[in-house]
Amino acid sequence: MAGETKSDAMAPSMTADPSGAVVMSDRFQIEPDRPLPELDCGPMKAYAATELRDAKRGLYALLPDPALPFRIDVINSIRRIDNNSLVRLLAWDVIDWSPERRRRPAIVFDRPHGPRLFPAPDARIEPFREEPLIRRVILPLCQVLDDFAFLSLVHRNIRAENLYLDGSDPVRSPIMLGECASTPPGYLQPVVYETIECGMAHPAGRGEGCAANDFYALGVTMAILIAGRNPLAGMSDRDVIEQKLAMGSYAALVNALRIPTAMIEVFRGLLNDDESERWGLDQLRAWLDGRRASPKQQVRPSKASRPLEIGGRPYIAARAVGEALSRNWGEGLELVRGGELDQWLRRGLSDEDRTEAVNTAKSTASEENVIDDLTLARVCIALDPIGLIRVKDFRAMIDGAPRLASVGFADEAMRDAFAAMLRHNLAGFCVGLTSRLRPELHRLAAAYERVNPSMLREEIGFGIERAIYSLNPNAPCRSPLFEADYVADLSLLVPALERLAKAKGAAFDAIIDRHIAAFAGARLKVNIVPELRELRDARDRFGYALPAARILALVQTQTACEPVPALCGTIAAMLEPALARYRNASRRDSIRERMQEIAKSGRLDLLVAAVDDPATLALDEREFQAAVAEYGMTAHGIERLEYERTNRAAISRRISSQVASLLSGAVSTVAVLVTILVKLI
Amino acid sequence: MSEAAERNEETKKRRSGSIVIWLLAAGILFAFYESIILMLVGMIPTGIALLLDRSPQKDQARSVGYLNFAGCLPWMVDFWMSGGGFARVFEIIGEPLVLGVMYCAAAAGWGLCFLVRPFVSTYLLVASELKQTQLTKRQTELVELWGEAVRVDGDGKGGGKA
Repeated sequence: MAGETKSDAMAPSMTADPSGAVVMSDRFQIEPDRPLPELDCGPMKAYAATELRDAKRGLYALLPDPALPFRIDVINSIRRIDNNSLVRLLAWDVIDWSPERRRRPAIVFDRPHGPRLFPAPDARIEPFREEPLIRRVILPLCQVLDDFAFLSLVHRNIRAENLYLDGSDPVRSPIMLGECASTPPGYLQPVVYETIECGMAHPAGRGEGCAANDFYALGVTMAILIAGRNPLAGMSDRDVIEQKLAMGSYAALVNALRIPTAMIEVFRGLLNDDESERWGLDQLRAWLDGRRASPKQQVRPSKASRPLEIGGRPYIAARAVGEALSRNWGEGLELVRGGELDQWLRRGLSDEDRTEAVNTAKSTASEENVIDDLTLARVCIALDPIGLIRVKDFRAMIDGAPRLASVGFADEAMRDAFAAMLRHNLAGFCVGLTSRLRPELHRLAAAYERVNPSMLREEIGFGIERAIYSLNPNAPCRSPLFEADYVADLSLLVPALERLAKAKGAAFDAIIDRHIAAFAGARLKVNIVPELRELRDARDRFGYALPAARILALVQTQTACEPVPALCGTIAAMLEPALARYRNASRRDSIRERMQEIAKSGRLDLLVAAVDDPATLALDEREFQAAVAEYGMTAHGIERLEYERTNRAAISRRISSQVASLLSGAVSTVAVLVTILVKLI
Repeated sequence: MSEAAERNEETKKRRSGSIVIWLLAAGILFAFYESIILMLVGMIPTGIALLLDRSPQKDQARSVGYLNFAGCLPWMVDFWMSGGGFARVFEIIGEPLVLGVMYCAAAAGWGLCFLVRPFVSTYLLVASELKQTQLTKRQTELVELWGEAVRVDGDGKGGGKA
């Protein structure tokens, strides 16, 4: 979990400087009034930053978009990379961003000493020649990718616009690769830099990918630098994909360029659309060392004898048809329902494997042979089983689906599509169709299947929210309570609630909502199903408050976060009705006093223990039963007294007779004794 | 031994005991018949009290009887010390003073019953109020400490109302 890998030195510690600057982690100072537009990264703004111990060190901070889950799970590994050819990531934290009056994540980097090498996607620069390209770009980037490979990381943000000059001389200054942690993997990459399948996916759903994605992006970057421009500039994303599908990436990018003969091999190797045949670090190193190895020719996909027209365009390859069907969803459904697709597969494509896969997709999708959205999603997978899931507008690689669901959570259609993907195991269907996918995608498909039962439960702590948080370690908690905060991991949850408690006092309606419950359920090491069940069954504020307090106490204990007196005070107020379980008023008062004392100490577990002690509850119940018995006896006594009052004359007569008899007996005894004594003496 | 047999055995014992008592009484009657005549005349008020007192304990009759007996005893002792005889019995009971003393003593016993009653009545009233105050106070304490639930549950167990 990200919160656990975060070092102590990076523990959240934010203060606002009187000058308006924001101090981060007691080490860096970010200056909101000094934006650095030349270092902006897509929608993310860059600001000047300094290190408090070394003010001369040039730094900058990027503020990731809170709506986008950035790469918290790998950020600490990336920090360990110390390579002169990579913009160094120094620290990250969540800061009080005064200009927006909210908390935002911020990442601090060493500032490059020069401008971007390629200022904009449609820019033109002086074309690189072979030798400078190798010396200034390929060799340093090879070293960087080697460092990433050593830590089992991928960069996923290699593009010409993300290269910086580390000096002012555009010809001689070394080149540095920019950052890669502030967005989901590949999110900012224009489609041209992405492999065909990742290009088809939504930017947030491109997935972590693998080193092959980085080498493909390196190949595209090299092609753009050697051309001095983007060869596919001006084309729409869809046209870029269709051109790559029709010609292959190498041909689409390089055919129109004048490439030095010696470099044809490297471009063929890096831009190979077959991931397993694409060049990696070893082949690139060998090529740099002068060992010229001819890459395998890319196997062209089978083409149909006649095209299938979709959306007014003709398509002759299964992969392109799959993409076109997904882009023209309504028409795609009609083509599948009407049998035109089957006809084209049998008579036009004549690819037995694809035909069989499509038949499987149609037969397993629906038991009643109804061609619905799910069937079409399966058909698209069957036509192109490359790890891409397409359900209407939900388009994600298998490893990018949870991240896309997190980004698009507010969109009901996205949520439904992700839920359908999990419910009908589309990832499992995809990995079952081919053995060419990476092993981790098989593991992920199995993980999705395991999460499915949790997602199908509708109660609090489960559902789609639980699935997203379970499958996505980077997803911040999207509770409406944290609209002005950023809860990236479990360690930030309780402190965020503490800030909220300080701001709102005891005015909480619900301290745990569906998002917080699912977030805690997914991130906590202990099982909180009993608490979630109590939350589900809660019928009043108290029934809700106690399990909510228990969950937060578990979070505080697991994350060993700082004391939270304001939150404890709020929860103590919410737990007030819980004291009604204790019947003894003086015991309630004593526990209330203890709770107030514990609240000052800020320990939620002690607070819960004080109000929810089974031994004390049992003792209280025993004493209550004894009190009930005593009350019953007193009531009986009063009843008897009333009876005596009603029948007082008779009772008094009876008792007075007894008393008189007693007195008479005593007097007569004395008289008898006196008589005997007088008569006998 | 069976229960029926035990019961039979007990009945037999009781019968034999009452026979002994009757035989003893007959013996005493035969031996002290003069004294008994004196006592019967002297304790006529006690007999009347026994008839009037309907209570099972016969406390009023006892009250009259004890003092009536104390009033009779001096003449009984005189009778025994004078040697006895029917003539002496009739001599004693023929004196109005003697009968007056005997019957006045009985009347004192009766009077005692009426004299004690207002005191006892007042005592019972005060004691009852004190007791009720204590019980009500305890009930209030219990309700304050344990809430209304103790009243509801307690009334169920006690079968009454505070």
